[in-house]
Amino acid sequence: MSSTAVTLSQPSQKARSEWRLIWRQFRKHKLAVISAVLLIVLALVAIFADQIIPYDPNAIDAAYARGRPQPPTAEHLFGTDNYGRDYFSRAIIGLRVSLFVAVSAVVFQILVGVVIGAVAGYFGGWVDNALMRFTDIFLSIPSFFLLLIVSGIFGGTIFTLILLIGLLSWMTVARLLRAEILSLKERDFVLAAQCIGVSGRRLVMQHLLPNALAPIIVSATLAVPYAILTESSLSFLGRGVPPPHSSLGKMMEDAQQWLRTAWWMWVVPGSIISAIVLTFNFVGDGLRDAFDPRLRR
Amino acid sequence: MRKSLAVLLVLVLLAVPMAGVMAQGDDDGAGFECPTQGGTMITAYGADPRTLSGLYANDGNSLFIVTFMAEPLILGGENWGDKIEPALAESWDISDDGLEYTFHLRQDVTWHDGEPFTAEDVLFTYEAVLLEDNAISWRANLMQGDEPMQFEVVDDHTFKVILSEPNAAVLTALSIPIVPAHAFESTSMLEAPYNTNPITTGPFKFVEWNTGESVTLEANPDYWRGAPCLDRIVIRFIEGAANQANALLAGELDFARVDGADLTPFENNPDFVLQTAPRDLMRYVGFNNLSPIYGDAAVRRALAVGLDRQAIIDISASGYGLLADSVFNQAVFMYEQGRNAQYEYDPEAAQQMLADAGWTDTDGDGILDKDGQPMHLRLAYSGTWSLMQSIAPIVYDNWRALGVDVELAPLDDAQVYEEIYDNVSTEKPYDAMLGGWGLFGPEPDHYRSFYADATSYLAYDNPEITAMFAEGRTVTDEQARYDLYAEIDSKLWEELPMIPIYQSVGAWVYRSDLNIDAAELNGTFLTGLKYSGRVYFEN
Repeated sequence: MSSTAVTLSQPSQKARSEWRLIWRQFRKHKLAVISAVLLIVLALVAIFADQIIPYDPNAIDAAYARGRPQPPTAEHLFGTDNYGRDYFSRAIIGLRVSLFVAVSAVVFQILVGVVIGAVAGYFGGWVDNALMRFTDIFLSIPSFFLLLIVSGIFGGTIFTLILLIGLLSWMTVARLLRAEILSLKERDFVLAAQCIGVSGRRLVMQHLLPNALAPIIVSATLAVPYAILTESSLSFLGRGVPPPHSSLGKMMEDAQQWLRTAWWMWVVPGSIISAIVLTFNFVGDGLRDAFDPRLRR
Repeated sequence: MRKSLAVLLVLVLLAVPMAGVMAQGDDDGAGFECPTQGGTMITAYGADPRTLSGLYANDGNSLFIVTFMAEPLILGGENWGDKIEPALAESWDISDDGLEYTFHLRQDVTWHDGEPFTAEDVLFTYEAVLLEDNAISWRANLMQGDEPMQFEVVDDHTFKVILSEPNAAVLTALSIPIVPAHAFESTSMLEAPYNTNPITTGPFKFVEWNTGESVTLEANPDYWRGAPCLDRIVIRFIEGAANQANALLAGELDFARVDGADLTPFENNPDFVLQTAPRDLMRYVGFNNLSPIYGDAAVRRALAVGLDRQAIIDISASGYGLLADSVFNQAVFMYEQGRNAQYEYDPEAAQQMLADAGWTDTDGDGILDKDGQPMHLRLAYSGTWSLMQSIAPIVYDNWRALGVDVELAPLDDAQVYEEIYDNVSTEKPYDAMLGGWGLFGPEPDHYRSFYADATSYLAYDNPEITAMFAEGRTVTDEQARYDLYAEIDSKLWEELPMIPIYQSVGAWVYRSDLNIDAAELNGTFLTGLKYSGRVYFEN
């Protein structure tokens, strides 16, 4: 009897130590930790953007710019564009817009992906078959071109962008989760749970999903840079955030005609995009290693 | 850079009166001696022409080439300069009742295949234009209401136009390139081989068209103004001013208009000459005058005062623009600089004017309102036209600063037509639009379709202006016409159915051993050259 009590109380203890193990493993990945700190800073900047920006990002100062981008000075840390708009303020607002679009799109795609993956994996049979073929259809669409076309038809607003990016990239999550659940379903603890009559909903929510959390978190982390790049590419092609508002991609588009004469026009948004993409990738990398028990010592 | 821009602008301003003096010196331009003979001038334009027929050319790519080859009876029509001047017609008489125009045609003109040019060709051309199945856009020029003008061949070199009612704008309306009757099987010409293999009378004749590459023209040694100095002109298809500027720098082009590109490499460069001239093109903010808010002239005037138009010139046109002081382009015959008091940029005054018109921020949300209605403005423009894209944020910021809730609506080409240019009604969601128009020449009657037609996209319905435009057609006395249109000009400047921003200034760059002085740089021709036959290479 006493042994049963021990095994029963173990899961919660084990869960706690499981997270501690993960954290300990993650900490070893120095780049990932630095990236995570940087990400938190970027996120804070985005959240408090309105308090940070020194100028209205859309305010034109024609007399200052005289039709040409002006280089960085003490008043304009990142210089100005050819309208005399403060590039620092535009970059911060741009960062917020881009991050918001990317993170929201990823949350959206995770929601869709998890539902489809979990349903397919849990029910199996024809449901699984139908859902996976549906996923295959989406996978076979050249998503970037579809994005271009659809955003051209519906016009670029932030919400159509989020919806579009999310709708066209949930498939990886769905497949990952289905595979994970298929394998979990055969494990003893699931069979045991089924034996004592745990309901389907509870089984999925309490036993299957929590154990499949690792791949979801990792793929979510790695999906953010993809969403950032997609948003930037769309904005660069004039299909993203509506004018005159800035986003990182929009700033790259504005820089196009000044590549040779005004380096700050592309260096600023370019570095921010690269920084976000790199940090998310490192954090994702670190998380994947941390979640992998085989790498733990 | 700033200083040289200012110098350039001064040069532009000087060039306007100078060009006028030069043109007065020689009427038909005959009797020019070429200092040197020979050579090929390579120039460039955007893309393949749609047609080489002067009757169908109404897009830039086609018009550019046609202007080197073809000629109308009289200069002064759309794309044919800023003055009514003789071309294939030497002179003309107008009957006292203003209903009969008799044209005396030049007798020394031959087509490029050697056939003589006669009044039959003129008749054939105008009949073809009138034929509805031909779908030639100039047809409206030759209609008076539902009735076509009447034409009559008096003899080989005398041609008569008979009107049913006086129409003082008829000279520019008739300024359409003439085509040879003998080159066609019938007046039905939609599919005629002529459209890709034209025979014309101009200084240069068609040789070949390499699709996607270039069009080659050759000098017409029998040209009535005298044989051209150059042997050949090659028009290469290069899209965009920046690419053309690069091609100039690489020595692949001899002459091109590259305003909009970075001109720094050409300034103080001994290998190139950079010359500017005003073009017959206006950039403007048009209003949907049916809109309850913007149908009020006081609001439109306030918005004009609140728009930093000079900033638009500096930012979007790199300084290559003339601040507009008329709703007409400067090519119209009654244009006079300084007649209208300029709307100087003054945001505070603009806010006061809006307050006087009843628009104040009563609820403190930063947006003006009147009777509980916020001042919203949807600004529609072509999102594929980079110039309009670059103007929009300035309008946005300027008017936002006044408290107008501006919404930018970049549209794709189909949407632009759907929302703006196709039939206007109150249903149309746009309050204002960004646009550009031009190449209308000296005749103010061309603007009737915008300012005196309630069905135009400006939806501007002012019976007084409409009546004055109608009267303008019947007055034949030049001074009386001048006074009438000057009055229209002043009234419309007060009314502002659209806010004219600036008139474009073209920047032409050419090799320094090319001489175009005698050819007269003139921005009201698409080619920029009034007498292309007089371009020559210096030895």
